[in-house]
Amino acid sequence: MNARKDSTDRFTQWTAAGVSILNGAFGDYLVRRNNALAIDMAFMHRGQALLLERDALRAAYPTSDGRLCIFLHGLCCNEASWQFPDEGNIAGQTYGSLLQDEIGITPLFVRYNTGLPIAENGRRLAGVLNALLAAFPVPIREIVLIGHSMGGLVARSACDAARSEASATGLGCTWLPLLAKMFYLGTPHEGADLEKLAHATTAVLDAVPNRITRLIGEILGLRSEGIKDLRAGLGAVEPGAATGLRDDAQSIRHYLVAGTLADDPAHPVSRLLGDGLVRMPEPAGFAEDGQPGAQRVQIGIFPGVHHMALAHDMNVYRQIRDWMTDKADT
Amino acid sequence: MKRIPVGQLRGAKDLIQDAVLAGTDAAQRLQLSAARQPYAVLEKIAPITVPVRAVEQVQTAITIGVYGMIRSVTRLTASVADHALDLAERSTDPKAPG
Repeated sequence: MNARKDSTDRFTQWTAAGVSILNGAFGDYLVRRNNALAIDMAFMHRGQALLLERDALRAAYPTSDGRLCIFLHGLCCNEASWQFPDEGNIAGQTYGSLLQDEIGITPLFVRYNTGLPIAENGRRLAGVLNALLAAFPVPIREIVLIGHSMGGLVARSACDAARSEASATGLGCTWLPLLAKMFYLGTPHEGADLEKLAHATTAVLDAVPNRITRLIGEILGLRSEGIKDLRAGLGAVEPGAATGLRDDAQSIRHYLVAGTLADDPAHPVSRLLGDGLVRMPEPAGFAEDGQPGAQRVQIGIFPGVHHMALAHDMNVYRQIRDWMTDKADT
Repeated sequence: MKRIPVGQLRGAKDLIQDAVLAGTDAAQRLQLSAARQPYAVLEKIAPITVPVRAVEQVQTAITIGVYGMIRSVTRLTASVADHALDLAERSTDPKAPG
């Protein structure tokens, strides 16, 4: 019976993973074609999209004290990417479930179409956060956003969207003032090298006067807008600068987590390839000591932790928990 | 036994259909363009210009016909799959009549 349930769960997970990969690769095309495989942004609870209605939220989070930690997965992934591997005594746990056990914060996991432009996902996230705030059964006191890879850019973009909407409507933003901390795990703030390479390759293939290479270039060019947006990223996180985090978001604290392929962060492989997909943040790219906002950006480097593992690594979790509970930091 | 939702199966069917049709268009374009090259050389030889053009027209017609057939079979298969998915949807929808 258990074996059957396991195989059913695995089948469901594989199907969801396949759909998420397709969304990452061609998500904008799926939306344009009104394809049923296109993922609508939603908070996921036990594998199902959660209705943003009071009763549904009360049933899903009966003990919430109004402190929410919202997890945003990366490109071609879904909320399963936050699960620790199937071994050891924390199999199936996530940073969210551990944080709930240890500090009582309520974890919510977002699933979204990673093939859409990052700005579009940011707008959608701002919208669902507004809806969440309106429907949540207890008053929300604090929001923490944790984004893995592209998820970090979507989180920043949501802040932009919320501020733009607030200034356009003249109404205050509902959820942005509640945002206390933002964690970025392996987020390509200043662009991802792989997409830069793909962009250059496409341009070269297109420039070669040969129909085969042009066809290959055309096929490469089919990748989603979400992937293409990773080429430039959103620029370094600079609180108080023009990154969508000015004024009302001055008090937000930012935490950057980066992994490296080699065990030594100073090793050329670590410097060149970072975590395999995203390079380590350059300290020069962030607020320096003595400048406004310097204390609001902290960086944690995790040697030997590759890009995907940043979403489910015990040392990364401990660092997140420590930053979350750091009294001097709140 | 866990089933894939019919909506997702329909989405997968649509995506495969789109991919086959786009691939067929690209292959046809590539083949016609590649086949043009030797004819372009041969038709410059005055005594054989007329037969070369005739042969090229026949080959082009055959090529377009074959790719057209692939498109037709793809659309027919997709249509059959749509009907099957409609039936599956009705059988799983408790509100469906009959």
